[in-house]
Amino acid sequence: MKKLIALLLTLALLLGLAAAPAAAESKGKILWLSNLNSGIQYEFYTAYWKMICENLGYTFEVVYGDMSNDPAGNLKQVKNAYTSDVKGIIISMDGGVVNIMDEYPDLWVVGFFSDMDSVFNENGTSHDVMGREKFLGNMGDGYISGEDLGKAYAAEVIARGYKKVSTCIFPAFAYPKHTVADASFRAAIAEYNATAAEPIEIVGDAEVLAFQPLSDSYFLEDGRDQIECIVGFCAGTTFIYPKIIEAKGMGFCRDDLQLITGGFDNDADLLANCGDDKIIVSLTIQGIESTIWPIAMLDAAISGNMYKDYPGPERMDSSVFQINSTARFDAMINNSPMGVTLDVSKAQVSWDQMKDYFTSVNPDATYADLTAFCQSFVVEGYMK
Amino acid sequence: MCHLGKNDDILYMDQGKKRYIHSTTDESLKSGTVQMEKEILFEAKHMRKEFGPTVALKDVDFTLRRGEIRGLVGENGSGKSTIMSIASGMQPATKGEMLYKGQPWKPGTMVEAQDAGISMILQEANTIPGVTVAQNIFSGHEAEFSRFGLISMPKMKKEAQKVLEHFGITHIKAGEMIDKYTFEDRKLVELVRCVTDQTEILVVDETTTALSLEGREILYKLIHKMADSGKGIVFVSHDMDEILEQCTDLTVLRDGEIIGHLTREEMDAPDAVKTIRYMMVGREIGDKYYREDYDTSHRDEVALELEDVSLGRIRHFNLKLHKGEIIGMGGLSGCGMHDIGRIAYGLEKLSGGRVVRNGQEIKTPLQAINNGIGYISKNRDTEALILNGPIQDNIVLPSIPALIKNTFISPRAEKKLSDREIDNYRIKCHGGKQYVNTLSGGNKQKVSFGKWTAKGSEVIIMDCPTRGVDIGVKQAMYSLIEEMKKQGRAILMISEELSELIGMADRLIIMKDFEVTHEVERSPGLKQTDLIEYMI
Amino acid sequence: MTAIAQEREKQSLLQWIKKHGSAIASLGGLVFCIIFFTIGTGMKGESIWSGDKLSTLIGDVIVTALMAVGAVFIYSLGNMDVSIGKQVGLYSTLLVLIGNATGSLLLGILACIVIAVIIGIINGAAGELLHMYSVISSVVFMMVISGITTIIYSSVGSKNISLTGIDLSFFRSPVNMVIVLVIEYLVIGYFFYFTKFGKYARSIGANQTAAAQSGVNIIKYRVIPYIFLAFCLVTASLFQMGYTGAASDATGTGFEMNVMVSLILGGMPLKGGMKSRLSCAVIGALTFSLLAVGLPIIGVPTRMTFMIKAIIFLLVVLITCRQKNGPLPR
Repeated sequence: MKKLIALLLTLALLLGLAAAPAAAESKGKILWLSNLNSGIQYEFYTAYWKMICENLGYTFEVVYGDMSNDPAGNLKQVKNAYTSDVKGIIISMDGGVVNIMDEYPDLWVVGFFSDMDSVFNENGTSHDVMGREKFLGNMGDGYISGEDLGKAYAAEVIARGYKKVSTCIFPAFAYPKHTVADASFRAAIAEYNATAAEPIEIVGDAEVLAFQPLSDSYFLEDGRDQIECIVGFCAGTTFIYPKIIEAKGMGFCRDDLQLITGGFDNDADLLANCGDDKIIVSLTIQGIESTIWPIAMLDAAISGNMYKDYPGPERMDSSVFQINSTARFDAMINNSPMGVTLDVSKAQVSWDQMKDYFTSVNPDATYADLTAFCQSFVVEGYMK
Repeated sequence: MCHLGKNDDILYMDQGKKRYIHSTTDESLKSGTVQMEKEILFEAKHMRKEFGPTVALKDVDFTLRRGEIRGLVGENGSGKSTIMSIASGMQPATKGEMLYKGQPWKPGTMVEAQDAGISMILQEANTIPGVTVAQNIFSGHEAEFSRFGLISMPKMKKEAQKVLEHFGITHIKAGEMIDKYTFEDRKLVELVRCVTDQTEILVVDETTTALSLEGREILYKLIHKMADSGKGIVFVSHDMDEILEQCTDLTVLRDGEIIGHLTREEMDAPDAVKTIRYMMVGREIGDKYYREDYDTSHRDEVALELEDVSLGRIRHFNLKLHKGEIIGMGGLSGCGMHDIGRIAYGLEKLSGGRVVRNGQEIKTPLQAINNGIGYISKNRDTEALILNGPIQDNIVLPSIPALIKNTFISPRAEKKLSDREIDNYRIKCHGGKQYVNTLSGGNKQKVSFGKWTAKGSEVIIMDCPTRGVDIGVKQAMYSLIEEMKKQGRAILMISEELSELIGMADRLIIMKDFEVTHEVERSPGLKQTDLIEYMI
Repeated sequence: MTAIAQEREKQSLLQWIKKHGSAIASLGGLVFCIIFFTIGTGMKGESIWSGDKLSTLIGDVIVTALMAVGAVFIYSLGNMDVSIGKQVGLYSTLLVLIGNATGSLLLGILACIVIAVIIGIINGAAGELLHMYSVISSVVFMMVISGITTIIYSSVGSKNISLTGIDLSFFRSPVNMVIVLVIEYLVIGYFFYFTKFGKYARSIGANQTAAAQSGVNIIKYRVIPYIFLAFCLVTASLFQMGYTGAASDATGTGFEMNVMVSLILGGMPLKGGMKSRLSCAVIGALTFSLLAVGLPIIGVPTRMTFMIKAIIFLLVVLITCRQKNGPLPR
């Protein structure tokens, strides 16, 4: 029996290796140090980038970053995946950026999806890379500034007419942006209250979730049973939403408690609870077609045709999808690539529509155009 | 001859046993040649078994007929256990074929063999700890008591109690946890588990040494009943008396070969024991077996003293062991004598009194060892030896502190020390690197003796030193013990075998229910019968 | 050579193979990986023996190997320590913090050794004194240290910190890595094979009762292996932190599993005892790293490398594990 299993496993191993794709002729390899390893967003990014890379003549490969963004862990992953044809890397985790660039001085590096605080803050651990030629800047996940995020959520709360809300954030040492967003949110609400007939009450301080779901006793504390809406700056679909379902089942909270947060998933049960009169009324995510930006930057650098107006590494917002109405949720589910099943062809721009932004295709392309283009996507794009 | 004669004096004086002898002899007399024509139940042809370079069985032919109680004797490593372990699916043969009930037989596992009717009771404990007696008895057969996937425990318990009573076992309760019972009782539970109505061949492998007197009774009754109803029994034992009393036929093995067969008539011959021993060992074993002198003198110096010791049910126990003295302690296994051995070695935390050697109190084994005391546990395989370790490491373990030179332990010094003991005891092995679990019982015991002689221990406490050891080795060990006495070592010999205590000890202490009931000096006239009354 | 001698030669070779089965299987795994990747990477126009890849390999293997060498001592007792990873995380953090505060590594190293030894003593003694599986106390430490690390990083206000002003190039040199590993191997090897510490540890792992009856002080010799491990962990932490000069709240996460997998790949018996070998640590860690470094080069997608590692792990376990006799059914 043992021998049989051993034999079968060996066969499986050899088959697996034989099936490994042979390296095609390419201009080089582009890696993505990913912060995700599953989910519809992950699937879309890999598929979209792969499509673009094929058109440009690169090979594309994912490297899974250290789950906790540990510098040494990220470096190790990159080192293990590094082969001599790797030309550029898209970094979605900022831990160890400087170490990766130390290790591979010829590698082009561009940031995407992360805030890159360790790079752009003056006393950040990776701030040193700002002065390096090979670092091409960063496009964040939606709003870079916590202030903008706080304002956006406050506008949402005011527009929906809630009178009693609360907020949740991740710990400041890990996500300083959340603390800023929370403060900005409170300021905006205070400003509204100054003139409003009926002020909005924010119950208690922001609840800090140490990467654990909302506590079971959250709604049992003073005044929280009457909250109408929770504003989750942290990943609310994972850390808050399930607990709301539980609390409603137990009768601990209002029956019409709603959630404003970020993140998107095509999970059917979750989507069934998204919409104007459902639990999740608003989801803010990065405009997914903004993914064109980092690859265009790498292409320009690798091909030696850098945008003539490139000012040096910058940090910028990506476009933002604010999915905050039943119509917008429907558009995401039915017309976007991230519907029930992945469909890259539904993306707002096809290869033909984007190719002129790449300097290897169009030497006259400009950095300003590219950036503006990548920041222009909205959910309405799927509503046509 | 007088010692051999004494050995023949029988260990067990119970009347019931004699009845068996008569009943079987009567039957064999009656049936006479008819027995020869009894149906062959099991047959092995040209069976060969190799363990690495060691050949355990060389081309053995073996036949078992219905109604036989076949004794298998031979020295350790002669292959007597190997034959039946192959038949019962424990391990495959290297070569040869087997026939069971006329059909080719090649069991893959012990379970398969058991389902087909060949059961084997082993030397080692084989019960499942942490569950009830009933669950042990019916393990693997829970389905019989389950309805809708739930097992009915009361039903199982009731059924198990019935089975126990059927075997004549009344003191074990089916509903109790197995761990509550002694090793001896667990062995009985195992017996009950192995033997079912379907059992055609029962193999009893050295089991009796692990059984109490009552347990043996139960086993003997069982095998005779089975034999009478046409089943086949294979009885592997070291105990010559037992074999001679219980078996209808006897096969002697030596070095993996069958040396000869004895019929019941031949077994009843007056010099049968001598003949069998000769066949087993391959040479005249000589008359000398136990000590021949009756000189009980020893030095005046006290080597080890137990002063007013109390532990559990043992109260105010006193013992003085002198240099050059062998004290024998006997009794039934639960009488407290084994505890005395553990106490003397500092293994127990006393509730009163103290153990003293050279004016120093012994509270831990380490203190005991440092003061030159050695201890050989009754549970050789689980306590005295590291089975899964090389001979050398076992022998040198207590001597390690003496081998250290500035933290360094020289492998050469280790090897020298262990090789010395291997030579001394003539341990059958390829060298010190061989693992102890590949050795036969007698050789294992030699290793545990070697540990303490290597250490140069002056006081040696031996608990059941010849358990599971065959006569050739026993003889060697007895002369070794005698040698130790002459060297001035003090020996506390705890044993369940009265004959060896009588044969070896200067002074004999008999215990019963945690108290000393009798104390006697060595003398030529001492008989087991004189002592048994103090034990039971 | 006569026919008989030849036969004997063959016999003894077979014997040798049988006896050292698990050692050969694990060494075989390493040799297989070396040959496989040498050919495989060659076909892809790369080489696993290029200076770059070799230093990647050594960098990948060093921390795991340094930890595993110490862990052999613990595993030989039949014990397991799951706080290893979190300990390395804590020591890396302390090395950075104290290094930044004092401008030298020395004080940090001393502090780490003190903490590591204390944790080791408690870990080693708790199992025996409190009559529980020793792994339980290490689970407790894993949680406690994880909590302490979180507190440190939230008070620092960042997820990762870096050491500035100290030259760490020593820890980046592959040659130094090999030298330190060899030294550690020799030192631990001396204690493991040629002193009572190793001999007693293996005896305890093989049969604690027999060891106790042979005069081994169980508690003492259960604790001492943990002290050896403590020193190895601090050494590993130096290289963990030294390569990047940084530490984070996630440093060391999962290292205990890397150690365990490496030891199993290296053929270490998990129940400890006499068959424990120090070489398991290095062989296993090398095999593990070769897979991590080699598989991507020959074009296996990252996703599949996990699966392939799992299959190879299963294979080694299947080959090296021995069936134990279970009790018989009725």
